[in-house]
Formats: sequence, structure tokens, C-alpha cells
Amino acid sequence: MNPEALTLTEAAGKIRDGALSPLDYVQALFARVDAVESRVQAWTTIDREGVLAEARQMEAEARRKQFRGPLHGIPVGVKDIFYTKNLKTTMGSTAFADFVPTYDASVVKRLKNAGAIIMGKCVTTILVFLDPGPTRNPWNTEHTPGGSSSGSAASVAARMCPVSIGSQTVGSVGRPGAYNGVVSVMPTQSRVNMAGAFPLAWSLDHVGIFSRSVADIDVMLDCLSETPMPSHLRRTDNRKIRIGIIKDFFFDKTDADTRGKIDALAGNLSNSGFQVTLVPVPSIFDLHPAILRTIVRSEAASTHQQLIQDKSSAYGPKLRDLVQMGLLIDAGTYLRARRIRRHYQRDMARLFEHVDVLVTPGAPGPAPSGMATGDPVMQAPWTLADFPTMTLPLALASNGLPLGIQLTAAPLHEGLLLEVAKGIEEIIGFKAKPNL
Amino acid sequence: MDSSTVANLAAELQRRAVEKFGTERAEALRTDLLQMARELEALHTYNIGFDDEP
Repeated sequence: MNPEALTLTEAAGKIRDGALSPLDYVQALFARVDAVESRVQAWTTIDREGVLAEARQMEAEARRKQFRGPLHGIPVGVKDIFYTKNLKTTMGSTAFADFVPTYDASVVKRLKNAGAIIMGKCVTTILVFLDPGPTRNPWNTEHTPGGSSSGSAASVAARMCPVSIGSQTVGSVGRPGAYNGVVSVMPTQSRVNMAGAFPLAWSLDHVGIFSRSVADIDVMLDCLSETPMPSHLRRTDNRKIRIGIIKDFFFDKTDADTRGKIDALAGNLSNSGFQVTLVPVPSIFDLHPAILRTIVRSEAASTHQQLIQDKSSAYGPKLRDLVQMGLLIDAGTYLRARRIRRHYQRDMARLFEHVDVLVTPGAPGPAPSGMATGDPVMQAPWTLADFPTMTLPLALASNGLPLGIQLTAAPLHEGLLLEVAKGIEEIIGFKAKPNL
Repeated sequence: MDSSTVANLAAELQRRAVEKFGTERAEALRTDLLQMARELEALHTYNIGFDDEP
């Protein structure tokens, strides 16, 4: 058995059965970190002694058949913007190089309550925006892993941990999910609490999860959810699942390889019993970049107004531009953007009157080479709408890097989204892994 | 979109940028400010009444 190759669900089952010791598991993952981390650079902090002590405790409990929850003994990576009690949390910035929180973020508390071991802190871009950190794409280290949840996605893809936590304000979960060939979810904002995380734009910031299977996302979401996912939103009855493919806008910005593979998938879904239709976007869709950027600039300016004066050298050029431009927007314009966002959410929600789940590309193509973290254009419309969204690996591009698809459901319909994603994951049957 | 309105808005943003960050920095932001002016104008021309809440 290669413990590092196990999904969360597989590892949790083996720990329950006594076939895998939590201590052996973390030691196998540390061996994997030792083998690949110098090339991937996904972690800012790993407290090995603390992790080993926790794993020993979990092992003793497992031997007595005492399990804290569904994640008992499962190591989880956490993006380095979520506060972790007594564990350094840097936000990817020298401004917080020595910051050690005195309490856990809400998601960290929930993970610990479910039995997870916080394996370490994963690299974020500088202060959660577009200025990159050191992390490289495990499929080809000349390429970006995307951002801002760079380390969270890369650590899972590189088999250094089975699951991780990230965050998304525009496209920081779905984009790295697609670029790294892993499964990701951005739930509805109210589904998982962002308390105790460093903000970029609080009305748009969402918690995200990375894993290597849809079943793992299901387990994690159950552990992190503030509200139960009602069973009537999970079952899909006996009728055909209605899949809407959106080509307007999304296909214009996507490479031919990705477009072709999504068209082929649509055919496969249709042959597998899904009802597949093309769906047009409403007219307000054209406004989404203006609404989103106005809100992000304004809220980021509010967050950073003092810090950028006190710690100017800790800022990357892209965040500096964002904050300074946000400082020029008046309150009336910001509030107008917030009001128009509600119209956007209303009109976009009508898409689900005729379909259950929407399919769009996960990214414009494979991860670009170089340091820039890629284009969040595929995620922006859904983050603004606050619709739960997943990405699944779809295929490998001709350059050997993964391509992804994106699935979107109506607000708070994560249960339905997961059910459909499981079916599509099976049809795609993606088995490739990075050759590190 | 009315190009003269966008130009006026861009000029106003440029003026604010000079006041807050100085001439050199405002000049560095000029292209981005023009794009932002287009976006803000798009928001201002969207028809929304005081009682038009979803």
C-alpha cells in the first residue's frame, strides 16, 4: 500500500478498519514531502513534531476504537490565510512573517473537531491576490499552479496530503483546481464560515476545498458545513438530470483543445442518460466584470488602507494597484455595485429554472508557463453570483498538463451538485497523475 | 456607452489619483484608470430605481 496515493475516503476507511495507522500515514506523507517539496514548494510551515504527536494520539484512540469524527487521523493542508492557533500564519507576506494566531479559524476548528490533523500551512499568493508565491505546478514545474490557493491545490496534486483548504474571491479555487488536475469546490458563501481568515473582499470571499475525488469533497463539506445539506436537494428522483452547457463568453475565451473535449464530454453525457442542452446567458451577464471588480477594489482598499501605509514594502505590484484604484471609488458607486450584484444574482438564478447543473470550462486552457497565476475568467461569474461550483479534471492537454471542467448549481444546492459531479467523474474516468 | 462621459470620469479618477498618490504614480495607473472608468460608467448607466430591489 502507498498511503500517499490514498484518497481521504480510502484512508479514513483503512484507519477505521485498523489497516492504516495514523502515525504511519503522516510519516508516509512526510516522506513524500521530503521527496518532492523542493520542486513543488507548496508549504510555508509544517510543524512535524506537533503533527507526529497528534498522530500518535489519534493512533492510540483508533486502537481503542474511539474516533473523533469522519476525518479521524486524516492530515489536511490549510491555506496560509486561515488562522491556526499557535501555528504561524503569514498570508504569504513579509508583513505577517512572524504572526502566530491565538485562535483557530472556524474551518480549522471544524476540521479538528472532525478528527483531522492540521498537517501544515499551504502557500498563498501575496496577501491572497495575484502576486505569486514560490509554488510550482506538480505536472510541470515550469508552469504556474494558479492562485491564490497555489499550495493547497499543488500539495493535493503532488500526493503530499489527501485534501486541503483554500479560498476564492474571484477564481482562486477553481482555477488552481483545473490547473493541477484535482477536484475542487467553492460552496455557497453561507455554507462554510470564513471567520478567522485574512480577507481580500469580504462579500466575495469563499472557503474552498481540494481533493482527488468527489466523494472526498462530500465528506469534507459535511464536516465544514454550517447548515445540513437537505436530503431533498441531494436526491435527483427518477427524472433525467438536466445539464446546461454555456458556450456564450466561456468558449470565446477557451482554447480549441478544451472546447473540443467539452463537446466530446457533452456527447458522452447525453449517451449516458443526461439531458444536455445549450443555455444562453442573460443580458446582465455582460456587466459581471464591472460589478465584480468594483466590489473587489473597494473592499480590498478598505481592508488594506492602513496596512499598505504601514507595511508598503510587503505589497506586490498587482495588489498595490488594486488597493490604490479602490481608494478612488466613492461609496455611492460601491453601493451601486452591491445593488446591481443582487439583480445579477436574481437573473442568473433563472438559469436553473430549466437545468440542474451548468457546465463550463474550468480554465481557458492548461496552466500557463511562467510565474503569473493565470486568468480567473471562468470562475468570476459564479463567484459573483455566489453559486456553488466544482471543478473536475477532464483530460490531459497535448503538453501533458491537465484540463478541467466546471460544474455550477443553484445557491445552497451543493448536495445536488455533488451527486451530479459523482456521475460525471465516473464517466470521465480521469486517472492520470503528475510524474514528479 | 458615451465616450465623452467615460473620458470625463477617467479625468476625474486621474485627478483623484494625483491628489492621493502624486503625479508619477497617477501616470503609472493611467491605462488602468481608463479601464476602470469604462466599468464604472457601465454601472452608472444600468437602470436601477430606488425601489428596485430583488
